[in-house]
Amino acid sequence: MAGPKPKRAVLTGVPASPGYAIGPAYLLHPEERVVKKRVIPPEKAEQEVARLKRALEKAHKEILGVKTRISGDVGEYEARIFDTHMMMLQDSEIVDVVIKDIRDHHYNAEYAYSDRINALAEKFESLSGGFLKDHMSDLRDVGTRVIDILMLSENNLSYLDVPEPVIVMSRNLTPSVLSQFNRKNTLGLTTEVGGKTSHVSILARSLEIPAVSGVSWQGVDLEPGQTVIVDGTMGLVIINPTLRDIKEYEVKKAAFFANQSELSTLRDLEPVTTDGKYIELSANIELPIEVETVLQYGADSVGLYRSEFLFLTREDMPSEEEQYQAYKYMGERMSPRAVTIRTMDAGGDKLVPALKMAGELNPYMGWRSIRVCLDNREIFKIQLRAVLRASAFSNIRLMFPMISNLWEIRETKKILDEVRKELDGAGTAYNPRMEIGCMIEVPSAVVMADEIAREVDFFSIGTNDLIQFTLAVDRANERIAELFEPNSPAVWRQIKRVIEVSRVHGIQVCVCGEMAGDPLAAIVLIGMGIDELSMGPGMLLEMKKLIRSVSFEEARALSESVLRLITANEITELLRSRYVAKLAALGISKFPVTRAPG
Amino acid sequence: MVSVELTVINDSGIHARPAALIVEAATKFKSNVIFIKDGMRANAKSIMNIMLLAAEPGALIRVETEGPDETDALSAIEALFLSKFKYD
Repeated sequence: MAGPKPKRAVLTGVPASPGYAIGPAYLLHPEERVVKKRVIPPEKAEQEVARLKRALEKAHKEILGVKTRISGDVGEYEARIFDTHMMMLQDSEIVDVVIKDIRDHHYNAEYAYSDRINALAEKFESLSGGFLKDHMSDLRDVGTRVIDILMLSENNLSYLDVPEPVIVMSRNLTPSVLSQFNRKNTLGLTTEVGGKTSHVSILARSLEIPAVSGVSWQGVDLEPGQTVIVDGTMGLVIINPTLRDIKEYEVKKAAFFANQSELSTLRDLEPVTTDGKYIELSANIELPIEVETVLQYGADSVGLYRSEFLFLTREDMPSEEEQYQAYKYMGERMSPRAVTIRTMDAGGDKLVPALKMAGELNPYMGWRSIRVCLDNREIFKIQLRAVLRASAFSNIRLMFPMISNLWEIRETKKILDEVRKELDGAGTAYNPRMEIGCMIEVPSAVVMADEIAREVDFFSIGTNDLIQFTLAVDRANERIAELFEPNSPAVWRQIKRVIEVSRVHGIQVCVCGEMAGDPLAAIVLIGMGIDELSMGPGMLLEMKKLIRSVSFEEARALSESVLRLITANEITELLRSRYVAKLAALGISKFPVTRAPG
Repeated sequence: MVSVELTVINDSGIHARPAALIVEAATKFKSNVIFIKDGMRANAKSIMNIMLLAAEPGALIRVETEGPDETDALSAIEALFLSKFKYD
């Protein structure tokens, strides 16, 4: 017979990707993992030892990161427990025994490690005083972390291959791990950390997986396989829902899908305003395969292909050939429409394993993006060669991220010229007129936009970074999430300036940050004269519907009003008062990034 | 080889944080540093060894050091015990 009925619980988080999902819970980070014992081929033993060492190194970095945060937030004394944890990672009583087990018995690293942790736990069982409880929790902390890393490592994708459709409940899911999930079997997603603009949320939206972030199920009656509802539109997660909950959500789900299919009739219509201005609508994608979704939605182009995702999910570097095949595939599928390939934008919350990127205290302002590429020219050149070669076949545009001064764009172009010459020397075909652009996402680039514009064929405004740098608000820090204010006049004025500079120089200007997919912000952007809006594929059709319902004249007047206002609240209020009812009437349900005032 | 008998005089014994301080101190020296409690020998350079000693307040520990810098190692460990492991 079943035990007592599991308790219903409603958890509130941040709506990260709209839609509804009902299904069994799949805990990505359960307290007690089932670790399978495998025997590996003897010749693979050294590889397995290397995998263990990498996991230990990664765990060390993670703990160091936590320690740094805790010593800042709580205190030096409290943080010292993490010294103990880091020592446990390196302790020969654990590591030497585990390595010996792998070498002598050819066990997989997960099993050997968890076996050693269990053996030590048994020894601890005999301890007296407060030691047993404390030591056990320290041991489990360290053990779970290492085993988690091993089980989620790139060499063990089968772990993510869930056999049936599930709701994935995770602590800290990285975009690279999510991108390895079987899309069909991932009904919904919850994460404990990360806000709406974290990359994993962005990826969930582009894969159209309903997701809620900021959800912790600690202290909640939750076992693997129990039913969970994910309401990604409102940001709710219902654990052990009642029959009534399930019925209610079946209805919501059906309505959501109906709305989606109504939108699909919009696919073949043009994104023009009522007074005839064409706004190019394009898509942001992370995976080459997503061009299929983009085509399905009838987008004008791929406005942003985040090429770093080729680098994130593996421990080595993708070869030139591999990159070339990925770029060529997208270019050919989209042809004659354009594909804008952004060069590797690593760093921040997207660490590339092969570059041995360390967690930094201030990663968004650290060693990332174009800076990493300029420091690793050989790796950068491989990518540039692959892009140039793919440009021979289709309409590929090249875009450089995080340009913050004139030297960077000039130096980057110099490297590109070197690669062109190498290709010329080898007689390899490429498009000599391939358009080159850069992202404008650092305030210094806004200030220098006039000079930078002379170097490029197009600008693309990255609003997420532009907002965080302008307002000095770390977009991954949930504590100050309220301060991340897209409607700040300081942000709007910069966008306006970039668009004006583009007009003066006759270059194309696009917005590819989250604001482009925010219906309220999009109207203002259109009014300011933006040429192109690039957003997650899931937002394209609703945006087209919106564009077809407004006039450029009205949007222009609105943008002028916005530029006259001097606080974010006034701007938000103006946009809401004018457009929320209209959006509702159009059936545009997807949540705007722009928050309510207050 | 030099040795000394030390008593754990802080309030909560050698739990995780003092254990880390001991390992940190011991690993600075070339000499072997051994803790002996109730006949149980622990390598002071291993956090797991120290944790398994489960030395409660009042516990008596014999510390032996052996190697080129054995005297310095012994005084460093002694100082750490006397400081009540700095904070706790």
